[in-house]
Amino acid sequence: MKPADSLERAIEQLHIKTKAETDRRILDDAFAAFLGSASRAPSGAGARQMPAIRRIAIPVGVAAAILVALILFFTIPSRKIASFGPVQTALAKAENICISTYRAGEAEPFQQIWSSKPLDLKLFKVGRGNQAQFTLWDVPNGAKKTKYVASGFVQTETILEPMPAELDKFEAESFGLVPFSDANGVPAEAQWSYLEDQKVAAAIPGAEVYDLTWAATAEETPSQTRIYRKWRLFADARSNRPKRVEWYSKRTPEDEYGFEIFSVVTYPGESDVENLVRNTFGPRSSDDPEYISTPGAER
Amino acid sequence: MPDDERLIAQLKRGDKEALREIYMKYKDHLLTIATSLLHDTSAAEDVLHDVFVSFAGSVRRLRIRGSLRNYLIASVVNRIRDQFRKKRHHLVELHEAGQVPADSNDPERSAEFNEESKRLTDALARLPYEQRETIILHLNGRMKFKEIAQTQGIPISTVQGRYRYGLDKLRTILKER
Repeated sequence: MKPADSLERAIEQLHIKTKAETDRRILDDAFAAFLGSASRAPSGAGARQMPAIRRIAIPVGVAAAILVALILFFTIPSRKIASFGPVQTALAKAENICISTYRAGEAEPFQQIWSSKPLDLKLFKVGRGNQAQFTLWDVPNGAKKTKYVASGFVQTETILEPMPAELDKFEAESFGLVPFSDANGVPAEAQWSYLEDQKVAAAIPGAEVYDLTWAATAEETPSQTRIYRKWRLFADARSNRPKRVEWYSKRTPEDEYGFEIFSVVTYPGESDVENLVRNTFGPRSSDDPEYISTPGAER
Repeated sequence: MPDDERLIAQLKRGDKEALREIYMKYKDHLLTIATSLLHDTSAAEDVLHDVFVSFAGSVRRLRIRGSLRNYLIASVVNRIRDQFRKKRHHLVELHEAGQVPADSNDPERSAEFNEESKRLTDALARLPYEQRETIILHLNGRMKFKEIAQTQGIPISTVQGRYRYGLDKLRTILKER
């Protein structure tokens, strides 16, 4: 459809944004309706009228299904993944995540990120020791808080949008853990391989190890020379969640890859993130000692 | 698998994050359509609320023919028509009102909803409802005349007529101002 004139174009371009509080209200109610629809199973009188044989057969069937699932879980070897796509999917499903990033050879991370979907917050820690700085994006409370560890000073700013677009993009692009945001960005000559070396895999129990190698243009160099990169992934053998990623590079194909940085990824519980925020900044809402839940949180 | 199909499949498997994704993807678009049709942002937000809550509660049983986007737009339009059926007098009041949509002074919205947009929605509110709906669905909802005809249960030629007469009238209204 091609608008014929400016009036048609103006109508086509009308755009009205929802307010953050409207989003919260609608999502809260929609999630409640969604969860409610899942729990609407036959009950009450219907259940009482169920024949005795079925009342016995159903629990036995459920128990058998659980047993079969457990046997399969422990006996079927995990399937190797053919690209980083399943890792991105697994990351997108993670409710709470913590990413600690280190420089090679260092024992303390130079950056840590916590992201919680149910709490609708992101917490960044940059720097170490006394020089560290925490930044909390607390969407339900409409606040961005910054804490300077050296002084203990906490600066609070109001945020009006649900989450800054660049942070949403950062999350959508797998928190920078994966080198390409989608398969289209992967150079044609890139190579994906499963690492058979059990010594490497043994470093992270329960993980399968994969390497992705490719050549990129080193844009930071005046000569625009090529740089050879390797991304090593330690993915949980069953869930495909990344447990650790490592980044390497070299200047010529003949060189050995140099280990640069690595990230350790963990999946804390909601209460762990909640406690960390409380311990760093105090209760999230000064008016309410109770922790404020977020749109979509199961209550 | 197209994105919406994937989201629906995830939803049917009980993944509530897919519901959030669908909401975030379509909320502004649906609110714009509802506000343009109702000329009342608060009432439009209520429609958006009802449509999403109803969608969330029934999605496991739903079989959506066509696109999810058109399904949600049709849900918004049907709910608004239901409201009009219940309060028939609103149809008359709306074209005579020429009032400012509620919340138009909201600073959060002012950047998007500028003076020109307000002038346009005021003018749209003076059109007969059927013409307004056709214009909004075709231009803002990006629905084809054939799709609008299907949702309204009328011939395509009638939809095209409503569109043409509506636009002519809209131009006249805007010239008067």
